[in-house]
Order: sequence, then C-alpha cells, then structure tokens
Amino acid sequence: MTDRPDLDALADDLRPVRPIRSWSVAAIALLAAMGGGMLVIGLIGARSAYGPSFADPIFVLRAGLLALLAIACLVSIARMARPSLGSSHGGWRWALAAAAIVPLAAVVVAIADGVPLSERMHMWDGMECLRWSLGIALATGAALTLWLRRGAPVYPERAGWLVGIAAGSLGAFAYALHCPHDDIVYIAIWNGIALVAAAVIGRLAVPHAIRW
Amino acid sequence: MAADEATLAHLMAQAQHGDRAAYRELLGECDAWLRRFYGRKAHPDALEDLVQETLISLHRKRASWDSDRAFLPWLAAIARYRWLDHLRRVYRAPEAELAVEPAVESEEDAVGARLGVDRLLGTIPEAQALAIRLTKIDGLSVAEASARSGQSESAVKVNVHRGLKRMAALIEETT
Repeated sequence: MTDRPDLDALADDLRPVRPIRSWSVAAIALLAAMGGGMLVIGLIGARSAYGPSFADPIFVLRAGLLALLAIACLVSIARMARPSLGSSHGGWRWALAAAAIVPLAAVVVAIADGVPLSERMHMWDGMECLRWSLGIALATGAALTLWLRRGAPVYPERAGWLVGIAAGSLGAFAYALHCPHDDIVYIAIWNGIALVAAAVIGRLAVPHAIRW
Repeated sequence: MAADEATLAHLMAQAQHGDRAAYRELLGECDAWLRRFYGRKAHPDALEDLVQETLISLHRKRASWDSDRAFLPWLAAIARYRWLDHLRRVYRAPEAELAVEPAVESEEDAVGARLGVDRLLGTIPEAQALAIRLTKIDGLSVAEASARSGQSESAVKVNVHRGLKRMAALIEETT
C-alpha cells in the first residue's frame, strides 16, 4: 500500500455507520399520516361527526390520490438518498399526472353546473384546510429533510420539490379525515393551493439543507 | 491490478462496519479508480483537488451506499456530482498542458470509461459540450473560447450555463 497520509487520516476517522434504509422513510410517512390524522380528529373532529361518511366515493378518491402521490414521491426520495448510475426515480410524475385529473375535473364541473365559485369556496373552512395541511406538511417535510441529509442526493432541487409534494400530500390527507366537503371544485382549489405551496416551500428550503 | 466490483463492494461493506484496514485499502483503490475516471476531463492542476473532494464525499456519505446494490455505480454518481460541482466553481483554471488520455487497458478501466464523465458530456449538444470543455476543462477565458469555437462570448456563457444545468439533471440517468 502506498504512503498516503490523506488516505490514512480518512481511514483513522472511520466509524461504523448504519446504511440508510427505505423503511425509515416509510416510517416517517406513516407517522405523519397517522399522527397528523389523529391530531386532526382529536382536535377538530372526524368528518363523520358532521354527516359525511368515510365511504363517500369522492372522499375515497381524494384520500387515495393523495396517498398515492405521497407514496410515489417517497419512493423517489428514498432512491435519491442512495445514488447510483442507472437508478430511475420518475414514478412520481405518473402519480402527479393522475392527481392532476382532479383540477381538470373541477374545471369541467364548475363550467357545467354554473354554481358561482364564491358559493363553493367556503373561505373559512378553506383557510382551516390550508392551516392544518401546511402545518402537518411542514413538520413532515422537516423530518424528511433531516433524513435526506444523511443520504447523498445528486438532484437537490428535484429532491426539494418531491419533499414538498410528499409532505403536502400527507398534510392534505390528514386534514381530509376532518374535511366535510365533498365538492370536487372545493377540493381542487384548497388541496391544490396546499400542495403547490408545500412544493414551492420544499423547492426553496430543502436544497440548501441537503446539498453536500 | 485494479480491484473488481465484488472486491470493492466487499471492502465497502466491511468499512461500513468500521473495519479501518479494509477501508484504507478501499480508499487506495478508489483513489486510483477516480484518477482513471476523471481522465482528461479535469484540468491536471484540478485533478488532485477533485479526487480529494470525491474521497471526502465518499467518506461523509458512506451510509448512502446500499450493500444490496453495486458499488461502482454509486461511486460514479458521487464522482459525477463532485465533477459538476467543481465545474460550476471553476471560472478559469490556470494554464497548463492537458493530461494525456489514459489508455483503456483493462476491464476495470473500461468500466470507468463507461461510467465516466465523458458519457455525461456526450448527452448534451455539441456546442454546449465544447463551451464547457474549452472554459471549464482546458482553462481558456470566455474570449479565448469564443475565438476558438466560433461562438459569440455571450453564446459561450449561455452554453456553459445550459450545459451544466442539463448534465446536472442527468447524473444518474446516463449510463
């Protein structure tokens, strides 16, 4: 072995490390969804207390799409943390495309039934939706960012978007357990704002924290 | 003779468990591999810094290697990331002769060439690759690169910016 003090110094500094595992991202997500959901139900009540059922088709679709979007982004985030040539993590694009059907459907419905937007917005409820969704998203995003810092993401900006979208989806999912509204226009507006805001916050805040 | 993928992966797995002797051997192998990897795509004066920075990244990010996956593609992704970061920081490298392209003599060298930065440069339009090569690798000024390439000075700057951005989005995808 050649005499190389720089390499010797690195070797001397070696400590055992636990390889980062995908299941820890799944644990963060599960904690966010369950913890956030319990907090929402515990503090402001479940939607079933106001009449609407958890079996309502719109609720199932809404929760399902948000969960799917979060899972797709989390899978990409988990792969990003462990870089490798040939690694592919574009599945989130398809989930995002599927979720984009909601605002498209909302536009069609809004035009078709002609009810003024002002009557569908329910500003007070909408602002509550934003507060809760973004609050849970911020906590989730912070946990995901801390986890990602241990990894070596080679696309920090993309990782920022994905952390934001994943966290926003989980926040909106948790709040959906309370939300009594099943109007697709209402859902598209307020969930859309929450997701876009979380994604932009992720894009702006996360890359600085994970760049290496 | 350079170590193969299986040997490197075994050494890295040992290193993650805290085996310093295995880690020191791995660092020596990676040092040699990275010098072949960067080849002539780093200015000779910058090569030493680049290899050092990559080895430090390997050290800091060693938890991000998954023993279920191959080692060299992981190291190559880290090396490409460091190389692009280096190119962004370099405005103009000092004048010097280019390093001689290392001959591809072994299977290990061929792997290095396949995973290397040449492939990444090959993914962007020729005008962008040329602007990056002249200013960031050969160390020419923007004016000199403009005269050499026939691109205007502003086109050189734009091509460098766009080329780096494009390569940064393809670090893992290009194999």
